[in-house]
Amino acid sequence: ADMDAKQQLKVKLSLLATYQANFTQTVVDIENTLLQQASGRIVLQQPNKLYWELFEPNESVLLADGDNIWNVDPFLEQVVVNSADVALDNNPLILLTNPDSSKWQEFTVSQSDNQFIITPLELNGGIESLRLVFNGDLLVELESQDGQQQKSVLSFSDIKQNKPLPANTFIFVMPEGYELDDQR
Amino acid sequence: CATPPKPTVSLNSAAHQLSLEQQDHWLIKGKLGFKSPEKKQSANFRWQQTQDQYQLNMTSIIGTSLLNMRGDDEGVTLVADDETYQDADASHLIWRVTGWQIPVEKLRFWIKGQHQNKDQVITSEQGWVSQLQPICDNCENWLINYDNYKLVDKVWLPHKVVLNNSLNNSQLLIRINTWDLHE
Repeated sequence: ADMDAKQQLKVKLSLLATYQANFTQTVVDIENTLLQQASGRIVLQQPNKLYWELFEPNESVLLADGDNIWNVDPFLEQVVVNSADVALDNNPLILLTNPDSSKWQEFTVSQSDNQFIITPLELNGGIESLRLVFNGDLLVELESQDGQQQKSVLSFSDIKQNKPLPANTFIFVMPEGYELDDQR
Repeated sequence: CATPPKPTVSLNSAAHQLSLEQQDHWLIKGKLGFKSPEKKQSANFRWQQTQDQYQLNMTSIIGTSLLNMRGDDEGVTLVADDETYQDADASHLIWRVTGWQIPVEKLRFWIKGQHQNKDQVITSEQGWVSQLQPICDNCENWLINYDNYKLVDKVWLPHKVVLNNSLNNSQLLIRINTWDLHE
């Protein structure tokens, strides 16, 4: 039951040393009202490295480099940085890049054929469930749901799994003229 | 020349104000930013207005809900960090929960560049409002600048609105990606 689902998911995730894809993001509220539609790009690398970019007109970047989480906000020309372990606490997204982390004990996993649903044992705001949809070993969709039952669905395209990544993919560079809001 | 010359627009400002007044059922999506000496934050937002009823949703980069506010002239409900708050005054409520200074009740008009007769206004050569200094009770500390007007279903609407609050030296930046006007 749960153990097999978590084990199976960990096996699938361990195959993803790196993951890159473009995505369309659709965000709906509990009444299925469309709140936001965006396109972007995601890059994952084990362990604990995540690059998440939304393209124009929602341009912003979230970069987890293993130590810190950098939030680049071109609209305000500002970067907000938090330490990674603070943000990781119950954000399953980054956990995807760490199949053998002990943090998995804080989550339950259920499976129905090619879909896995990750749920934190302790719900304290932020993401309350993460649904991964696989097509064979290919991760094709990621849906997160928060405490307000607001859903964000990412549909992936141009998927590359286990391809080498440019060395600077997860190196944060402070954009020219931006302010830093250091919350570490 | 590189870019075609901008078509000269010259609106009758009274007529333009009337066209704005008629728009009381609309939907905006874009970017909302707040700057004050204490904080600088931004979020993607969706704002729906139907007469006095409104719904504002602010969403994080990964798609989670930052704030969800619904209300009308009678009262307002706001949900943030999974806590629910209620109040009669929306501007006061959003300020005490988030620290953001947003003139919710008035923004319904100000967001369009619509003004009252007694407001102090600078009208651009095109005929739309480029700066608005509202004159009403507890409005006097606002100064609003408009930019990036575009035609939306035959109505010229601003797509960049900056509300400066001199009382606490804060700024509300609104970049509108899409206006949807419903008949």
